Amino acid sequence: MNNLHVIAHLSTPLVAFDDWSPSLDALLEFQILDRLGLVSPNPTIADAERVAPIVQREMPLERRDIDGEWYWAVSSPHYVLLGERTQRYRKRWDYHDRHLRWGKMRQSVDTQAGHYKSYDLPRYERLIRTIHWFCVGHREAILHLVEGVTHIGKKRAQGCGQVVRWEIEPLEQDWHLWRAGHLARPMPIHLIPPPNGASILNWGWKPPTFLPENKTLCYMPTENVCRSHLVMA
Amino acid sequence: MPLSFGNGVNAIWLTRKRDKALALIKKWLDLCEYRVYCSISGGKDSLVTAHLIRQIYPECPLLWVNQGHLAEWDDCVELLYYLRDNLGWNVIELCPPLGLMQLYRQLGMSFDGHFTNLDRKQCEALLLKPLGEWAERHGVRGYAWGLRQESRGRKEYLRSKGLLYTKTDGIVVCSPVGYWTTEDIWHYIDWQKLPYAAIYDREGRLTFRNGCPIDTALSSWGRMADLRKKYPHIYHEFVALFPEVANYG
Repeated sequence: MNNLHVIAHLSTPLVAFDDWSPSLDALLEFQILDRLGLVSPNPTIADAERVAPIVQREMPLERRDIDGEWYWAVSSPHYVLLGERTQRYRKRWDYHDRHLRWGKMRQSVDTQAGHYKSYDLPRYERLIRTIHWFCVGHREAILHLVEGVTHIGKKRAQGCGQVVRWEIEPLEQDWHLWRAGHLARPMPIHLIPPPNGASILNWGWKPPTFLPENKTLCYMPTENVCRSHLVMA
Repeated sequence: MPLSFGNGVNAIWLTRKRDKALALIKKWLDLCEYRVYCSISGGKDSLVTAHLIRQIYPECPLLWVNQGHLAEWDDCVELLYYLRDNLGWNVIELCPPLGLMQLYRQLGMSFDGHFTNLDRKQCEALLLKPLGEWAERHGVRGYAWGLRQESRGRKEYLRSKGLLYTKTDGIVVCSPVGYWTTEDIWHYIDWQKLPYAAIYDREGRLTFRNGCPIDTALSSWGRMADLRKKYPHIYHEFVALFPEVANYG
């Protein structure tokens, strides 16, 4: 296991709600399970427990322990935010479709619920050139897994978060937890001393993040996203 | 900072509107023999309404229904406590037996994108019932609120009922700022240097409307997504209580 610097080069804006997504450990976990055909569209707690030993065996990241709590040695994403904007995506039943032929039957379409439910939702886009993660792991195994990842973040089906190239470089320092004196990843408040200026949030700090036992009050990194070049669109 | 203050810019063009509102309040108070209350939420409209009423009746009870954890903006709560403790306003806090989160557990949530019977039930239990009980206990004959013609429904309500309206049960409802615009409200707050919830400065004075931070009925229109982006601590706490909500974020 080596100290590594993983870089994703993006060609379209990343869609993310917060500064700590996407997380590389969750991405790798998904890739491992996807290759084995074990990904569930709506995973349950039982599903997560069933695949946990496989993930533990196949994960190319180092498993670290602090006070009996384990986690994967990888930082939150670090990037320079060049611009931010909010787009919207919508779904509406087309009332003016002239090609519809109902025949003699009277049909009704419910746009309040179910398949035809209308929506109008915001899409928070971040303009980023490269995303950087700092981790401890096997370079070749990580590269093998991420090479198949063409899009990251939310709204990938809408073309957002397209990755044109992955790069993994060796690093001298281990920056997965602390980088230049700043916290580099979310950590539970009972595991580390309070960092300078860190915020506290109830957060899923290791994958799968939907598991209640993986959610706890965490110190969140505040210096991982550089906003000094930000231009509001 | 949870509180901001009006900047003191003069708005003498509001004098006529203010005097008209004060005359209406005087008439309402006389009609009800000062057995009244004013609903206050911590938002801008009820703040101005309460300020106008207090110019004639400084001891007027200002009823605030605290809808419970995650159901009120922190800044608005801070403002109401500030008005009560620092400015001596007669703010009375009512706490319904079940808060919004408990009602969500008991009655479920609405994800329908519009005001449904479920929302009506929750509104009844959270707001109308505690206010009605207090009014009955204190022999109230009328109440005032900060209703304005912001939406089509409210416009039609004010047009049909007027600013002073007697309900079938004899309660007189007064809407002193019914025909004020949003700009008028802000000019008044600035003019009178009133304290207000700082969330209006963050979210936009002209666009933000005070209400419950968690509005599942509007989840199809991005309300949950907005909450997740702008107020992650509220969103994540809510999702921890109701994990299915994450599907709408």
